[in-house]
Amino acid sequence: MENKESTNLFSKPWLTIGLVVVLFAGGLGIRLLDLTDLPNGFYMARQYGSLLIARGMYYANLLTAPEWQRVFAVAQWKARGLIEPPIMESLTALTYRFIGEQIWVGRVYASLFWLAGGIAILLLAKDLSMRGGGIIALAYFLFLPFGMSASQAFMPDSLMTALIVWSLWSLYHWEMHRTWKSAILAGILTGIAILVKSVAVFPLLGAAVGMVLSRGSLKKILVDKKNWVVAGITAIPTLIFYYYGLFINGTLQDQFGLRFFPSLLKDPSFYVRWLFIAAGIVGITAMLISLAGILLFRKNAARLMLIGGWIGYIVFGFAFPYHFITHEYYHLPLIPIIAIGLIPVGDLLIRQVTQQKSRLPSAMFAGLLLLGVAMNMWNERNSLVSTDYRPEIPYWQDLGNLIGHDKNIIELSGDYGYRLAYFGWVSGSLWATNADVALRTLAGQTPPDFTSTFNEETAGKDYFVITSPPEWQNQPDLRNYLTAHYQLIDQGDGYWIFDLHQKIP
Amino acid sequence: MKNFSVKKIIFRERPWVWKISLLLALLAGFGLRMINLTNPPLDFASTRQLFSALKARGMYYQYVTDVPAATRQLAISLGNVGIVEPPVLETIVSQTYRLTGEYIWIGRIYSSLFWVLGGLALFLLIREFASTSAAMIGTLFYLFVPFGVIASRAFMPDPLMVALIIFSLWALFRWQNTSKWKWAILFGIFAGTALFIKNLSVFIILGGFAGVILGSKGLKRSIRDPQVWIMGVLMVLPVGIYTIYGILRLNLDSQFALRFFPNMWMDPAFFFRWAFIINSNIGWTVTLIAIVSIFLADPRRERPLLIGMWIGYFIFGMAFSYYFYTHDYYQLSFIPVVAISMAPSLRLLFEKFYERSSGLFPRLVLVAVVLVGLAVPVWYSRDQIVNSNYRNEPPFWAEIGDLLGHSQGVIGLTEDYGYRLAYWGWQGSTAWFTSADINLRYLAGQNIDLAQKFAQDTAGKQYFLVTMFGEFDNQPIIKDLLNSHYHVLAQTDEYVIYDLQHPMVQP
Repeated sequence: MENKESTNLFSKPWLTIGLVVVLFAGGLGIRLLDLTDLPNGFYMARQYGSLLIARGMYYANLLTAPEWQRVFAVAQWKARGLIEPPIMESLTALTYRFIGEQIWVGRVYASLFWLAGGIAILLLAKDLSMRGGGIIALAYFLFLPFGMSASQAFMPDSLMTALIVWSLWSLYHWEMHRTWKSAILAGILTGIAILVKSVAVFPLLGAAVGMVLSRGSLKKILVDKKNWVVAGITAIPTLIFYYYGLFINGTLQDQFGLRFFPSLLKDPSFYVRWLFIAAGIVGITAMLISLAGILLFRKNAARLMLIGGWIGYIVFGFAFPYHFITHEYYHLPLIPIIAIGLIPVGDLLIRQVTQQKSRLPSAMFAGLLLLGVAMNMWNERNSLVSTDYRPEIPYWQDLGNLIGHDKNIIELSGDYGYRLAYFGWVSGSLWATNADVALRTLAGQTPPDFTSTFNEETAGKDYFVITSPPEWQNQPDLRNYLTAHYQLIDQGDGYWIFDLHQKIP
Repeated sequence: MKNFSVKKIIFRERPWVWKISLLLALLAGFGLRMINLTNPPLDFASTRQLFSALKARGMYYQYVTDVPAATRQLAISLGNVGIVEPPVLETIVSQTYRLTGEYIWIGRIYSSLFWVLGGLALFLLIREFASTSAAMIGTLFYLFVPFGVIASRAFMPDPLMVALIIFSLWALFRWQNTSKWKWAILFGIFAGTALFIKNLSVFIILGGFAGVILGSKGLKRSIRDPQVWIMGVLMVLPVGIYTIYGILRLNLDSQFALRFFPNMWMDPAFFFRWAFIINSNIGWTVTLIAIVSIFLADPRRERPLLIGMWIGYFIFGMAFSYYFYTHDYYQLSFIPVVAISMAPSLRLLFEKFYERSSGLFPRLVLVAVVLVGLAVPVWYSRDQIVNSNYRNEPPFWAEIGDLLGHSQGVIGLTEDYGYRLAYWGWQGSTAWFTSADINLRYLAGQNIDLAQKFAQDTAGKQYFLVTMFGEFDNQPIIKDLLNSHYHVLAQTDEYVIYDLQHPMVQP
């Protein structure tokens, strides 16, 4: 007969606690390594967008800053528009008020949030009476290579992923206790997760529906007031935000453009790429074990909750097919789902290991687990220290000074002009990159006529600045037109500046 | 005996399902390895593959009568690349050439076939060990782990060796459970053949054998058991005779040089690197499960064999510490060790699965999960196979061979110790040291005076060929010597030939 008591890897609780502490300490340590380097290694544009918002918020009240900088920083913040509520950015801006503007503050928060998600994994494992399995899931969650990179990024995804885990824990906790307190907590945590980044709705709605359906009779489910309260609490924050973004602020509607590409769903290669990207991120072995693990949960609630999470993730992919195969971080919600699926398998194995009379199996298991963790940490450490982006700061500063902070420019850039804006304090409108054009073509838009677009986009601008050599190389129309018609006033390592007021006769 | 409570196993209820599934898996495993068959064998351990290819061609040309005598003689001479193991695979391939003509990819077909046949033995072994379902998963792992796919299609003795290791472990386990003469003799034959094919198989086989003797049968009982003695004799006899003959007649003792580096045992980085190699080739998660499984195995029936294999593998790694992280094909025999070791965990998982999900639907879901899990490594392996294209290599080396005139007296810093030049260029050469060779000798405590070595090696030579420019840059002494003393006979972006016979007149 199976022992339903929760498992511990070691007979002495302090050893298990020690292992958990080591995992958290290692998880934090690796994320803070090379802390002051620039955030160029992982979805740079998204991170610099957050940095500009946080700086704008900070400068709005920074009376010691020169007026032009204050105006510029705030304008940059406002120009970003709403995608999600700027929670991370607000928190970062608030921290700047105490320690000054430091580029790494957002990274510290993102890392801490991810680690907090690890606590929820342990709590969920405890509620499942599978503490031993929780350690395996925690190690996976904290040291998955992609997770380590993504969770250092100054973007809301780390917080969202952590809140997904907290929400899943609270949903299951509610299922176990069925009290008003646990129901309200589930509603709050799920609501916050979706508020932080609305795409969390996919796995969480799936998981919640799956879990509620495990209760049986639909009639009983529908008449249970707690269900409606949880749904209400969950929905309210996001509804308020959307109302604000769509009808008061008005910039949120821009976010719905170029998002939905149903034509991709008819392409079989889309599914192959999806599978490969997902497997590459979470690891095919872990994915398989986790999927098998779903079938090993003792209770239907946990089983259906995770199946619901998977269905939600799949629906998410159908809703955002383009982003699913171009933006790896869209797969982040899968990481907690996989981690939780590892709990029953890990627990089953640890239960067997700990039943041995000798202490050797437990020690060996822990040692090998830590060796696996150490290897992933070493790889991450190598990738962090092998690149140093700090020399970019003077480059962009000099370029900003060269252009002039008061100039009205149009830029062909590989990063949406964020680094020039952030370090160089110069901003302008953007000339479409090849990727932008391809995206619009995919959305069924016809590429506009070059000359009319050029005239329209450059009207009233002082300079045309190119800061992306590959784009410059790959846009022959633009290159030929600019060199034939305008004076190249400066050129350096990776940039070209054309004066739009000086036409070549 | 534990009569496994796994009554509701998909395959057990419907034996035809597992038979067809196994057949399909084996065929798919073979088919996958046949993709891009005619690509020159440079995608994996190219030196070792060309060594076999040269040897097989040399053997074949001994029978070829319709070519000029000089060509025949050259092929035989180029095939005389030395002795590492008995040229069993090369003999089989050369005999096949007599029927089909010379095709370098024939070795690939044999290697793949041997590996896949090993899958059959593995299935039978794990099935006896745990259950049919566990056997299917273990076999799928063995057949489709990407490193295994790429390595097992290489023209080298290792796939055959691994297959024979599995066959011998299967026979050993059958013997342990039945004590029949038939299995004792079969073990002796399989193990003896495996050791004969490549003596490095001794670690896993002897480890498993010792494990069974000590942990399952008992040492005292085994010493009195004639079956054990026969097994031991059959295991050791072929390789023993070959080794003695080799040392006396074939200069085989040179193979033992630069192999053992016990000083590396003191370096923690060595063990860390070892773990990295396992992680990248086999996967750490499956290795972790495999190790944990040892503790879940039946202490008398299963654990001795597992512990024996693991200790054997560990000793193997310690004995060949340098090669363990420079030659990843040394990890090939670890694939079946992991596959077999996972069996107790897989059995446990399947038991729990059937206990909690008895309906047909969850089983179909599980099958779907396995198929999806299979698709990813299969596609990944296929991509690797398809994306490597070395078809431009043969004409390149043929051109250089023609330039050098297929003459004596060439020394070169070229890929694969000159084997590419020899195989496609029909041009023998002496291989100049690479940086790795130099480092290896430093590691072994040898001191090399490069200038003196250069003078010795180039004495009487006509040409110095360079095709590895990265290596050339890494050896500035040699580069300066050549550039400052010798004229360039021919040069492109891809090669430079120095004329050693007409040195520059020094001022």
